[in-house]
Amino acid sequence: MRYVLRRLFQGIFILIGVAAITFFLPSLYYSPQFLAVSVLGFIHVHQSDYNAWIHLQGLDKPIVVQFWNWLFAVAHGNFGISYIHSSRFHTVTVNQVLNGSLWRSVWLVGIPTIVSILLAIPIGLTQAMRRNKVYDHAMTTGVYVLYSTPAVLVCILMAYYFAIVLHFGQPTVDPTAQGISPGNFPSYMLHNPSQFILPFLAIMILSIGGFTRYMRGSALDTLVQDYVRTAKAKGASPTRVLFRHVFRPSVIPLLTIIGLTIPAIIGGALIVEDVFNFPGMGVLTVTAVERDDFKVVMAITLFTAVLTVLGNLAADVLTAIADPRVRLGDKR
Amino acid sequence: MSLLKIADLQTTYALRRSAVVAVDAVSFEIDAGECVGVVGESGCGKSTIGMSILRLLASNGHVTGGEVLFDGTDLTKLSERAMRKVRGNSIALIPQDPMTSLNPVTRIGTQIAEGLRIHRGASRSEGRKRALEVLKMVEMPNPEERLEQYPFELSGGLRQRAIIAMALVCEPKLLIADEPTPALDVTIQAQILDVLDSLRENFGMATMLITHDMGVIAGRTDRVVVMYAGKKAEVASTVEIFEHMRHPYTQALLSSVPKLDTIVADRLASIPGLPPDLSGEIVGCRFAPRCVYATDECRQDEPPLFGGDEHLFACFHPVDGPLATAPVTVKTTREQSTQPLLTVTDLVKEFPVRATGLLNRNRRVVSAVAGISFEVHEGETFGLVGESGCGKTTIGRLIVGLEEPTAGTIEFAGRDPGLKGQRARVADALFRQIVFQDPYASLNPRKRVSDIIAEPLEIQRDGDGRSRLAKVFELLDEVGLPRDAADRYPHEFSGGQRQRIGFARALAVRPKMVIADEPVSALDVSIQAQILNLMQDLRDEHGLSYIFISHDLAVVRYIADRIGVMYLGHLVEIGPATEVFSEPAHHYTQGLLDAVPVPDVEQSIARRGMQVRGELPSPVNPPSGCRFRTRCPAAQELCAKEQPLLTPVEGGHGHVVACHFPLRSTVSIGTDRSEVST
Repeated sequence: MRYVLRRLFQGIFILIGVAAITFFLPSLYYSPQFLAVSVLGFIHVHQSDYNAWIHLQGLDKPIVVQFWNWLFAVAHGNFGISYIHSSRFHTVTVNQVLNGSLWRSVWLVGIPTIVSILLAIPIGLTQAMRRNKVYDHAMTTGVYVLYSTPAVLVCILMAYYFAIVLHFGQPTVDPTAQGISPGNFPSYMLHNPSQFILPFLAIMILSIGGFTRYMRGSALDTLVQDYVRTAKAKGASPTRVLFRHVFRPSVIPLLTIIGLTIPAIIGGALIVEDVFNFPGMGVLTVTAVERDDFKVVMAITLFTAVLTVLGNLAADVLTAIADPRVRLGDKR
Repeated sequence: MSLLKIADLQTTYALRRSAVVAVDAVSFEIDAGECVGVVGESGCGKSTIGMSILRLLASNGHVTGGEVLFDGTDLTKLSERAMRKVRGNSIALIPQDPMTSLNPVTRIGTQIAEGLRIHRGASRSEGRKRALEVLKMVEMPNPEERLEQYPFELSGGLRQRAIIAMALVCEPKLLIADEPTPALDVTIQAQILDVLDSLRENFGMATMLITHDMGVIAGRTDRVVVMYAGKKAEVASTVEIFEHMRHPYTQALLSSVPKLDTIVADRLASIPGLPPDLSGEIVGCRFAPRCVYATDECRQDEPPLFGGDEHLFACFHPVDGPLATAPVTVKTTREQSTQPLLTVTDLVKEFPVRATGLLNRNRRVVSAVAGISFEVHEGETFGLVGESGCGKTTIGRLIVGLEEPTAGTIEFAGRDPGLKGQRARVADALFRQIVFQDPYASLNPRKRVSDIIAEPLEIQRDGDGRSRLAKVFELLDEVGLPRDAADRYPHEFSGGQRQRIGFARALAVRPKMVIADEPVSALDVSIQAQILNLMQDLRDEHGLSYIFISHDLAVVRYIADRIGVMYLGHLVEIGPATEVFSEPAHHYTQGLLDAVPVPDVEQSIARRGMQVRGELPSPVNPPSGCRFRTRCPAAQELCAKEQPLLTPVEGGHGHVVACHFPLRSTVSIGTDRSEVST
């Protein structure tokens, strides 16, 4: 517990560091005048209007003070305004631009990833048990085909064959889904499964290969351990050896990998989101970067950092739960 | 009828293009309650026999011939399901390495009870009860607590006890102990072997003891099977093997083991060469290329087994009894100056233990070396002995500069004390070099041997490429390797050859001193003897000094002029090798000597149960006063209060001991107690 608190404490420092970098780099690049012009436009605007706007936005304050104000606002969930979407007549906040896409992406990437891990563990284990047998080779080949096919191709082929040829699922998510609030989104997905089945499947197909390979390698390492032989020498059956002695030690290294994939929620699903028109973080990120919407980019970067910190923490905590050597501190 | 009867067993490992017959035409029997030793060097097939019996061979290994009759059933013909009923139930395995043979994420109690749960369908609580029972049987300290612990919380010795308990849980008729002790310290080894002995006596379990250590075999077995290159070389009762061996291999194996008690000869009898490669075809006697008695007959025909049932041997020209310890030249006292080459003064090394929390700032330290002083003279070999964790390796690393001392000084004679930093390190390298323990891990696998040996020269900016290569050739000659070795990579060499490369590298800058950290402990006895002889030659040739760090007392006794005995960061006794071993003054030294397995039947039996008890205490929180007091038979109140100082032994030659109640009387005890209060 103390360990978790310490890690969270460290995490906050990391986040402040990331925040500083994302804040200062664009702030040094864009002058307040430039921003004022881009928001207010040229027509019927006087320099005094620009100055008033700059003052209103606090852009005339020293940069460190600006950073502090931004950080304070961010801590309260307010990421400021988007300079690209805003105009003289109405301001658009970053929160409005994001509009819960983070949560939709969490659903889109999270659920298929969990499913593919649950599938990859038994596949990898059984492959390791039947190493270099037909089953192993068949699985390896299949997994590599999925693993090495470009994501775009997987998505387009799926959209075509499943949705158009086989009428299984819809090739695109209804654009109105964008308007669904994050709280209602899960139930919306449940009520319209045909819209979401294909993107979910696509993410699964794209992620299962790596997990399976990793699990197979990890299980192969475990199988040659002396303690596995010890278990066999006790007269344990292959199933018993597998579940009691191979399973847990092989899954422990996988936990770290899972933790590291969590930040992939942002951006990782870009292509899938794009092809299936899923209102998630990936497309949003690209648009924001393309259009220099740097306040939005800053928010996304921070989200990524938060997810990275949390993902690592989750991986370490899970490892500690599964591995007594980590939990109780192996001094050797 | 015998309990286990192995007849013409042949086991083959399939390789990519060829096959290795690891065990060929091996037959022997084990009676109920009997202990049979299987000895031989690594690769001789001894472990393969054990695994063939249990049918737990690696996936490319198969029993390709013969039968294994256990209680009249041929195990090689059983179905896998029926075989599982045998494993752990009537035949149990005690595997080699206690550090890796337990499941790291499962509690000890669960692992011990597992066999019972499998074979007897025992409930959780029955299993627990029985686990506690067997842990008591193997004399595990605090057995109840152990049930709930994980393997990493236990030391090697305790883990091995847990493993033995695991093997006993179903009361098997046969125990296969595959090298049960070499990963352990001598003191712990002796305790474990005693446990095995008493179990056999009390429960009548037959034991197959697989080992490379003739000393372990001597005291514990009824009969011995000597294996060489997959074949039986000799089978006889233990006494016969040691006193009237007929096979030259047995004879050579025994005489290449350095002994504690015999007068030290100048050179050890080593077996030249290496065991044959079993993947090729072998003509004639397998031992012939390394045998001093070999004739043309041996090289052409394979010898059958001669002799009666009581004593079998595969040799055309049998010997009778051990090699006469004939012209023993008592160790010539080489010219030794009294000029100290290395002076170590009050050396202290403490390692911080991981801080446990952000707010928890009180750091704890492991006191690895706690105030040690000694000198090493020119041309002298100084032996450092002690159990693992006593700090001997740390001293070696401090002297070669791989660690920075916490306090104290290390001075080399003649080195400019004004040098600092990197320059001092470069200058010091000319004084001392190191040879590491593990010949497999200490050579960069991606570098050619010539680059490995020439690297110290490069660092010292000594000569150009051509002159360095010339020096590499010279060094290869010196360490007895062919010159074409220069272009090859480390993996092409055997362990002994790699250790020779290690010596060539250490000698490249012509240091005055070589620190050898367990240089032979990873090698087979016959190879070990070759390396020890090489070390002597190099010493005589270059007037080298050695610091020889080892846990093997016999080896240290053989090579060292003076010896320092370490216990938990302290030097407890220093003196001439002969004197320390023949008349030890410290109880710990005595205990260590008693624990060493000796390749002599009578002595081994006489010594049982006379060793140091218990385990090394934690160096994080060492005992007060004399650190050995917790395991010492003579400990009294004073020992807990005051740390004893090194005091000269009466009539000794530079023999000092740190003990309040030494085994030999010391000169002027307690002249200066004021210094004691540390």
